[in-house]
Amino acid sequence: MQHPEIRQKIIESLNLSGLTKPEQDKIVFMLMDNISSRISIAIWDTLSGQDKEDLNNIEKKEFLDYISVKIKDFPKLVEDITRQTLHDFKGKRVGIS
Amino acid sequence: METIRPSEEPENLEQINIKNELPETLEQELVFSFSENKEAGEELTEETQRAENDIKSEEGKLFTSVKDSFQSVFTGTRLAGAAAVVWASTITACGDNNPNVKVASAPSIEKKIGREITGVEKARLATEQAKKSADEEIGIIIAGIERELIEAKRDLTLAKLKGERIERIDKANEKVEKLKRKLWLAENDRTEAEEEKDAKMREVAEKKHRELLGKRSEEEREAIEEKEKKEKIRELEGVNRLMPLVLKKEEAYMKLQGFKKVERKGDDLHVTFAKVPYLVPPDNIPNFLGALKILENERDDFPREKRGEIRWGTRLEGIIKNHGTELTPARSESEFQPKKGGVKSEIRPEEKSNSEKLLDEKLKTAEENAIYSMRQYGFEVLKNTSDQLFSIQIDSESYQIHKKNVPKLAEFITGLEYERKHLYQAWENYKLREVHQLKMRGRFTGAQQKRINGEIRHIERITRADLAGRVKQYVIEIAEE
Repeated sequence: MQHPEIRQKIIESLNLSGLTKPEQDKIVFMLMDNISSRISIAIWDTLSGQDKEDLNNIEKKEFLDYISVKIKDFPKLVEDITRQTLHDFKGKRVGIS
Repeated sequence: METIRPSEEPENLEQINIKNELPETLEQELVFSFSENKEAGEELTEETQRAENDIKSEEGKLFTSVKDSFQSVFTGTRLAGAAAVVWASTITACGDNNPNVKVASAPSIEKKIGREITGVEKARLATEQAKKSADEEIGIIIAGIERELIEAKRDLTLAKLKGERIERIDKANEKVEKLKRKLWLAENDRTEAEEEKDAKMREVAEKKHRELLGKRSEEEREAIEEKEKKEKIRELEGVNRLMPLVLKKEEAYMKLQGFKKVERKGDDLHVTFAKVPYLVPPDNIPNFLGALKILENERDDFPREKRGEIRWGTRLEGIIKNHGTELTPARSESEFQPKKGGVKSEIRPEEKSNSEKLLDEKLKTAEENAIYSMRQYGFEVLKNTSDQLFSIQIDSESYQIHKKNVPKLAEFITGLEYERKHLYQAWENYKLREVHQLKMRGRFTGAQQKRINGEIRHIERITRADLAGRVKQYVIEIAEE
């Protein structure tokens, strides 16, 4: 985990501190994969057909710059998706318990 | 990683995490087990995958490729997931150097976080952004070169497969090599000019280093040779200057013992005893002096009233006859007749008997002295090898000498010691005179003192080493007898 502070905040906010470290990691990984995939889907939905073609051709390191140009207020989009994913996760968890 | 302090409005991740949709009280009351968390996560994943599959079914590989690209952007940060995405995108937005990036000014960040950002934070943001921009630029360059390189390699392979002319293959190969070099430069953030400059500097530095080493070693060698030469000259000069002094002492000593006309002729020693001239060859001089010294010691050990028993003249004559060669025919026996009315004859049978006893005793002492001296010089002497033989260990080699030769050895060592001591003493006196002269001229310093002490010690060492070598040589000679 390259960002232990953020990891810790996520653990605290999701009330995972009662779990063991491997368990915490597993949940955090799972959640992050979901957020990442959802952002990809959101980007895909937002881009035009031509943009998608361009995106497929540009270098990976240029990707974020390209997205930032093409998607208005990209950070806001990321935040929204993160918030929504966390909300969904918590909702499912309460439903299970 | 910089963290952003929560503001009133939940606009960043930390706020989202801390002030999420569930009421705090409810969240605090609920404690979820791992299985509940895992199950919730899996359900979420299933939903997400379904959404992904819908897209994939329509646009297939293109989406997968974009998704992979997107995730690879955050290689290294993806473990932090969306939190890192938020932060990275915020940082990216702060940059105003990259024309492709939307510029988020400090006020917009302040608005976002709900407070003024500090100077330190601004600086940190700027540094992060500059670094990121530079990394990205390098990344773009590297990617471009990599692409070129792949194409060049493909061209090379094709050229080989098609059996193109060697010139073409060489050209393609050259292009590949050039691109490899270009890639290396880009990856290491270097330019060809910088590399050339560094190479030249390295070459110059190495050349200087080599020259310096060569020069120094040559200078050092010359200095050492010069020093050794000077030392040798000084040593020889010193010894040459001292030799006459030593010889004078020898002469004085021998004259004191009763010899007349003591003089050096070449390396030989000429002495006259009882009007008979003798020649002592150089090899015998140490023995001769040793024998005299033993005799002198013997006399000193005797009580004053009994010194007449030593029969001094006879003993001296015996010594010179042993070590020297008579230069004129031997005198007739009549010449030894006692003078009329004079001193009684030295040769009296009853006294001779006592004298011989004493002589034997003293010779025994001489043996002991010889053994003691030899041990002092590091030679191991085993007295009881047999009744007749002594075993002497020198430099891990064992020599056996006959008991009858032990007095000769004792004489030899004593003579050498006498010579060495006088040479050393003369040298020391000479040096002390030098000290005195320097002091008188007011030029005597600590360094001078050190030098002179060193020279005195040096001559002491070489004379001692020389002595040991000569004793060894003598032992070898008499062991063969």
